[in-house]
Amino acid sequence: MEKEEIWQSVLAQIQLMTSPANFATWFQNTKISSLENGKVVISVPNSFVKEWLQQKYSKTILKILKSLIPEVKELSYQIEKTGLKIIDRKLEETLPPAQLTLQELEVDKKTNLNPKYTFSNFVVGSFNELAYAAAMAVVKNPGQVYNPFFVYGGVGLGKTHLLQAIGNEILKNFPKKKVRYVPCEKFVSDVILSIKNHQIENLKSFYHNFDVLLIDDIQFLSGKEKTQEEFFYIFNTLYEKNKQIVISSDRPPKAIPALTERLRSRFEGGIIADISLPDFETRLAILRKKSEERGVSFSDEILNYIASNIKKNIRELEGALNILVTYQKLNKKEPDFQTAKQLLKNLISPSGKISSVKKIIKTVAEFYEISEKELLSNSRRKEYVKARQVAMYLLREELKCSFPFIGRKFGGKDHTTAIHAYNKIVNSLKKDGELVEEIKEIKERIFS
Amino acid sequence: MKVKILKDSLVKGMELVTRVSLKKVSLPILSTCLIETEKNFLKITATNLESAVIWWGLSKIEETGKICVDAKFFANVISHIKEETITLEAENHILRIGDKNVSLKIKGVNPEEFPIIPQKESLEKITISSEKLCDSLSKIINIPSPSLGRPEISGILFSFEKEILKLVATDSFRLAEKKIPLLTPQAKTYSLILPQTAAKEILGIFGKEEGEINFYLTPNQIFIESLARELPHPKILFTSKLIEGEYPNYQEVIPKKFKTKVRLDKNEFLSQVKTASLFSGKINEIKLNISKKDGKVEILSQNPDYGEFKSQIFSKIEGEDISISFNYKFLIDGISSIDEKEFDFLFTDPEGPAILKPSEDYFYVLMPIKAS
Repeated sequence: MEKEEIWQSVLAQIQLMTSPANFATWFQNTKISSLENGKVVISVPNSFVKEWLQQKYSKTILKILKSLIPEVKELSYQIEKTGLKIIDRKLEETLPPAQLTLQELEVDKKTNLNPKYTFSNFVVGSFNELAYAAAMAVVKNPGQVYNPFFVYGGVGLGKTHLLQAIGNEILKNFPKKKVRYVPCEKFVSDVILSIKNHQIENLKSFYHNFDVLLIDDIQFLSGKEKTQEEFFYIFNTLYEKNKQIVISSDRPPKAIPALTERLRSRFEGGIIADISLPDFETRLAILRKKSEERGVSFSDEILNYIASNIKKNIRELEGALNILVTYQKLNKKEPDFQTAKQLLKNLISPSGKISSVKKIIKTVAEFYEISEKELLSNSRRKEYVKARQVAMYLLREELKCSFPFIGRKFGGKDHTTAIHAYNKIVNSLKKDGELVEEIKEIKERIFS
Repeated sequence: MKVKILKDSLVKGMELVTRVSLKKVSLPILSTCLIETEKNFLKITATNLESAVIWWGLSKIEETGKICVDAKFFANVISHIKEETITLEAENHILRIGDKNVSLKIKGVNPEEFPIIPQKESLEKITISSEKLCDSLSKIINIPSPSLGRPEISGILFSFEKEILKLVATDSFRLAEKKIPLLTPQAKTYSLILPQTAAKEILGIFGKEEGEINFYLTPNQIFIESLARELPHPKILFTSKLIEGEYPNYQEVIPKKFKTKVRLDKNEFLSQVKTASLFSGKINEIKLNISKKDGKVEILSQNPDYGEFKSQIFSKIEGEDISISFNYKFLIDGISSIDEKEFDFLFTDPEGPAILKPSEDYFYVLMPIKAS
């Protein structure tokens, strides 16, 4: 007979001897937790029940058990660790939406995962399909396929969300697996600390324990040689034991500067998936999903407006939505299109993003380590030519300058020269990965 | 059973035990208290199966025995008796209360039905001052919010660390920690999460007791005992179940670096914030503008229906200027929990945690409101 069945028949008999109230109070949530060599352990919900059963019912229970299984000799009680009840985590609506919370309290201590990141609130579109598909394969068979899983993409596109969702999903599918999420910066500071305290072996054995290791923003390893070395050892040990490793970065392994070759090749050994910019439809879908989560709705006109104006960052989409939600909660009415436009003014044309011709030229010159004068000159030396073309491209792309203006700016050149430069960069961007990264870096410098 | 006991002592004892007895239709025994003789004491017990209180009163035992009677009813009856000494007699589940002029009979219940209270066995004892514990607990007791759906932070963390006890409470918008010295230093460290209701019982039960109280800890249960003043025998024993689970690593929440530091007079600041709160709008917002150059803290609030409030306090300011908004309820709770005349108010960022810190023994972290 199964343990459950045995206990059921014990309860069935006890029920006949006690009042229903007593039975409900003392036998609710009890069960046989183990049955070995004639020793029976009964699990009870609290110490009151333990004392009561021990003193009042032990003889009866033992007698019934013996009649069912003759070899039963001993009876003991154990207070059950129920684990935490997961109740719906909805905050009270009475609190104003603007009240900020102590974020760190949400984080699970053992895994470092934040339970709010799951796949159910992860929007999939063409921009992150590959990454999502790979993640789904990883959560079904951690360590077996796609190891390591390397995901990269720009700021605010959901890398951390994806990493944490992988961790949370694996924990759901395999509760026994040891999962750890580590932002790379934390890893670096841990390494430094343990070197200082001569405890590097402790750190290694700490990381060797995990079945799933999720490292966020690996580009921070760049230039930190000793940390890279330690990470390399940890990576190898885990990899050899078929433990799943998931890594995120803001650029592909090739483009991470000052990364040792052996790490780079290992990162490329599994699967690399990129998260690019979401298209209009996906942005709209994200906005719909997020407003649904908050239980608010806005007109299509407003959502279209946000989706068509905020293109590069999902976090900013959420920010825009937050502003509207706050407005709605405070004024108890949905903002109309004009109000929404007014509210979002700062977000959509943020002052920080405005650049000038001067700034672009200065930044490009600095990036290629030439002087501004050389950049604007007529010299046809190779290093100047490329920088000049990049600068012309950026002026056109970012400031929408006319070609004749660009030509004049660069030492009185003809507008056809400017067009040629622009087209050349556009074409090179399609095949030259290095140039893509260079331009990205320059843009970051211009806008930072 | 036949017992003689001082009326005042019995009334006080019943006040304590009736705190935990409850009317529960499904199990009527929980509304009763168990009255029994134990050596030279009358022992009275009540429980609601989550916590229990036992009280011992020195008395003249003429005949041993025990009985169960409705706790609130019994407490009510004895409080009306005029005599200084009360005689209790129990026989056949009937409790007789002797009085010269009147004779009372209370219907009792079979004492065998009464729940068995978990025993503390022989455990390591941790001693602490009763006043300090109750005083500290009362500062933070109302912080946890049971509706958060997170059992581990719905209670109060008791963290016993060598020479101090740290009490911690949070509702994820604010967090407070209070340190109390232990009178018996510990070699080991323990931590447990006590349900908020049990903490309230502790305040009610031990709040009036002076002197020392002893803690005994087990993995599932906490026992707190105070001794009789006249003789080395326990007077009150309170026990409660604990909340399972691990308390979040709250140290991470406490900001370590600050941009701005303001020294404030507690009463002055509290009274201005209270006035400002009358004017605050729907989201309970109060704004503080701190300007180092002028050396003043401006307190602002406004409400489209009532008007607006503005006041200022001159004080010592270090660091950068900052403008930050708070929910006045959380701010007032924090300031009110301060005993000292002055305290430091430290800020990290308009959207980052701020901290009220009157001394090394206490702090109150609170999160601002996003300014609208």
